[in-house]
Amino acid sequence: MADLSTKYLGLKLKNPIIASSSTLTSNVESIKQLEKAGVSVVVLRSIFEEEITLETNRFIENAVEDGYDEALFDYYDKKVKQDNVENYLKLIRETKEAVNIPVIASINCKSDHEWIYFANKLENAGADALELNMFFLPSWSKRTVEENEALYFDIVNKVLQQVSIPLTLKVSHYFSDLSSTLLQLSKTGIKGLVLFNKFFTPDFDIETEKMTQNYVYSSPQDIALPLRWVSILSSQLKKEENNDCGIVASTGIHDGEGVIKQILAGADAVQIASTLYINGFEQVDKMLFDLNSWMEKKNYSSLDDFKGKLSYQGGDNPDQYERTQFMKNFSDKE
Amino acid sequence: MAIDLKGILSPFSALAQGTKPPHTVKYPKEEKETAARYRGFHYNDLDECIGCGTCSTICQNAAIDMIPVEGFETNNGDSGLRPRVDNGRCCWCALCVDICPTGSLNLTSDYVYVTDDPDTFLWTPGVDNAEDGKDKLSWKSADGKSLLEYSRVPMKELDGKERIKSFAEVVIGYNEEEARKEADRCIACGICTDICPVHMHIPEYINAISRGEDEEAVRIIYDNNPLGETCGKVCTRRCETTCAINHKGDPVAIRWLKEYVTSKVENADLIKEILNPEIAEPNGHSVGIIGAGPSGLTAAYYLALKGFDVTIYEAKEHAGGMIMYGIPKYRLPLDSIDKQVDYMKSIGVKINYNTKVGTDITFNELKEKHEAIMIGIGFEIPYEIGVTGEEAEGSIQAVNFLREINGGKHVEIGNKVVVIGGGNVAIDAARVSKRMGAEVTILYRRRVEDMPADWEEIEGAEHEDVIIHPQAIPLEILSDESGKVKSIKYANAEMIPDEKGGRPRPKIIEGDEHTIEITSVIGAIGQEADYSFFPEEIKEQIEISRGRMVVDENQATKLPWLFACGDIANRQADAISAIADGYRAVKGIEKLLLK
Repeated sequence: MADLSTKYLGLKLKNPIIASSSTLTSNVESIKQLEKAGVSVVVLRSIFEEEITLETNRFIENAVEDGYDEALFDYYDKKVKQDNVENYLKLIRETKEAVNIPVIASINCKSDHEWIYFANKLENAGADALELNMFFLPSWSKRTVEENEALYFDIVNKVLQQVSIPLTLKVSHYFSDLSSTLLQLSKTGIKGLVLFNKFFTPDFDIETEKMTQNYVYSSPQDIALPLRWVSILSSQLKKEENNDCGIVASTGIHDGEGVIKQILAGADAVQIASTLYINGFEQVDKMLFDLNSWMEKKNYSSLDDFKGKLSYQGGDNPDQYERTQFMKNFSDKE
Repeated sequence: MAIDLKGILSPFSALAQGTKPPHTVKYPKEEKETAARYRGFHYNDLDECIGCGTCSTICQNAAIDMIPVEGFETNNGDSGLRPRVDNGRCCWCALCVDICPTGSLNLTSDYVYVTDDPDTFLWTPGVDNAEDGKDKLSWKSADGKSLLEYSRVPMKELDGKERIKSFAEVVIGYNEEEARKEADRCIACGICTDICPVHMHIPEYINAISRGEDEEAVRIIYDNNPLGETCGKVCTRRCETTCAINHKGDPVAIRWLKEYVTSKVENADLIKEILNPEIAEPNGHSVGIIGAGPSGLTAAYYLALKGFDVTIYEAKEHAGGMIMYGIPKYRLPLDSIDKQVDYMKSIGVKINYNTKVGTDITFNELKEKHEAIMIGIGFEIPYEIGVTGEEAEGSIQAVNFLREINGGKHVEIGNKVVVIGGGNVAIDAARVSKRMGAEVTILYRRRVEDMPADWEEIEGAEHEDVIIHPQAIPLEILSDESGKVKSIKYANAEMIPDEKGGRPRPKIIEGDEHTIEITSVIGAIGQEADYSFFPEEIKEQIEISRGRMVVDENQATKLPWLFACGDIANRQADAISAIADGYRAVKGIEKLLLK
């Protein structure tokens, strides 16, 4: 049996498979099953500021329909927030009691002051680390590119000042200068970068001419984007002295092969969710088995033996990672 | 005999007239133009009219009655009735128009109406001449002539600078002359009675004051409200909002008149002497009440009068609930509450003070002791402010702050206080802080006009130099090294219209952040009930929706022996609604135990 252990956020993990933030990590029973299935870390479902807003709006709309004066619920969002936070803190505490694997709390906010508020609360409840599930879609705001990207640094710095547990940042690929921005973010003091978060992707029903939700799960092909950027970023981080920011790959990792690819690209660990929904929790065991079998076949005794072997710097042909167009010599077709 | 040809033909000459125009005027082909300000048939603007019936009352010929009209319902300030005029009795004196408090009733220039059906002399203005009446107004009440006195007798109050020096009652109160004069303004339409949650007999007690029969007024008030003096000082007075005179002038000062007549009665013994209550023989039934707030006290009072054995379990050392611990003493003095409670105790209401259900006695023990239980515990658990740093020393909650101060204790707040919120609790906390010598700023995230607090309270705060900073959203409370608050960071907000027609929403203006140095910050953004005393099996059997217990028309929960009143059961969050709940619960308990 090969040594599958790895390090992430200063935590020693028994293997590189992390249960990503999802509804599967929103209750203790499910998390216990995930631990039993073999995941090494669990990232709790994010506490979303937007959900609190939506819940408040729904509550008030219903109350008004029932004849209540809206002013009676002047600050009701604060009550909803308080309840949501309390429930989340309870989830952290109960999860910590119920499982032996590290528990990472996750936050997603829109307002910068709320990130800090939630981070403080979640740290105090005993989370082992915090994942900031951060994205500001370009369509959301009137901010300039510079302002939008500066927001990441601003929030990260403010949260770092407030909390002492390790902080990891889950981001999207929507940056005007992704490589540079990720590298700069890695230097802020965060202990991990998760590439990338999976968004809700709208689809259209052409019969009803309405927007629908279609691509709920990632597919194995979705691994391509994070694979490319894990490869690029990991090689850049290697060059950095005193930069202990780890990399976790996320999206499109559905099987053992996906895990292997991402570690070859330089990831310290991977986050999975879609494959758990599609294939069940037993998929974790299969992925670990495949990883171990492959390592034995290749005579690798630990993950470090091949981690980053195919990263931008480690690959035989690093130029390939930067090509964005199909070129004739890469295509089998005329 | 010769034939007289002329004589034969003459009768036929009349046939020629058939081709000529008639000499008479065919009705209504020609109409005479009326004089200016002619008093013809009535026209009533049905939407303006509130159905107060003042026109009917004043009519010397009994020509006006009030009838239901399709499309108008009885609701807030509208009786749903509209005047109908018997044109066979009307003398077109226009008294009805001159006294109409809304100005909806007018006379037109129409004067001709011919019918052989006497029933059609009954005319509903605005209905029967809906099409053209409005265009023919001739004698209008809007011309500035009125038989009503539109100006209220002003209430004397302590000056803003003077009042912040102490907790002395701000309102000085009417003297006898002022009260009589103000009471004379009432037109006794009774619209106010309808909207009052308790349906107090308002015109009746105001008329008694007008006649100089103050003790009779007290008796009328106590008929369905045992906390009349409290309401005289702090009622939210929906009655005044709907007062018919409010449409063109100041509403009758119903609250101050109640205050005048109830506060004149100096002590509990005098109240008892005036009311001389008839207390029924003990009926052998026992009722437990949790919470000595307005609803609990009301229920206890009327149950005791009806011979029930009533015990109130009150967690604190004084009765009154939020009116004792939430409302500052400059609005509602302690001796006023004590007087009213002492009177209730004198007629048999028992109050176990310092007895918190769930801590000092279990709910199940109460259930064993009593056949029915009524709960009126109010909303006492404050919402957190919800910003980073609120756990710092010097960050306090308004309900706790007011409870301590009203309970005679000291709270150290320093000299720079920020209050967060826009309701009455926020205003109370601000005005109390002002009396403790602090500079006070209220941060409210919406506009001043959106503040749920009474306008009178907002105005009072402004007179006392409380700074109200609207559209300000707190972001963070900052502390010094010792963990004591030192400043609060907030952002200014812009108001965004709600697409669905709700209240505009505040949205932070990015980068528009500011900091205020503070010695204390007081959160006043809302409260909820503490239902933790309920055993699980009870929780499973009752229904709680939107933080409130679901009750029927008699305040009974799904458990027939369990009643809920006040903030935990109604949507109004005021004392008068709690009193109304308590009054209804009495009926429910009677129905349950005396059937």
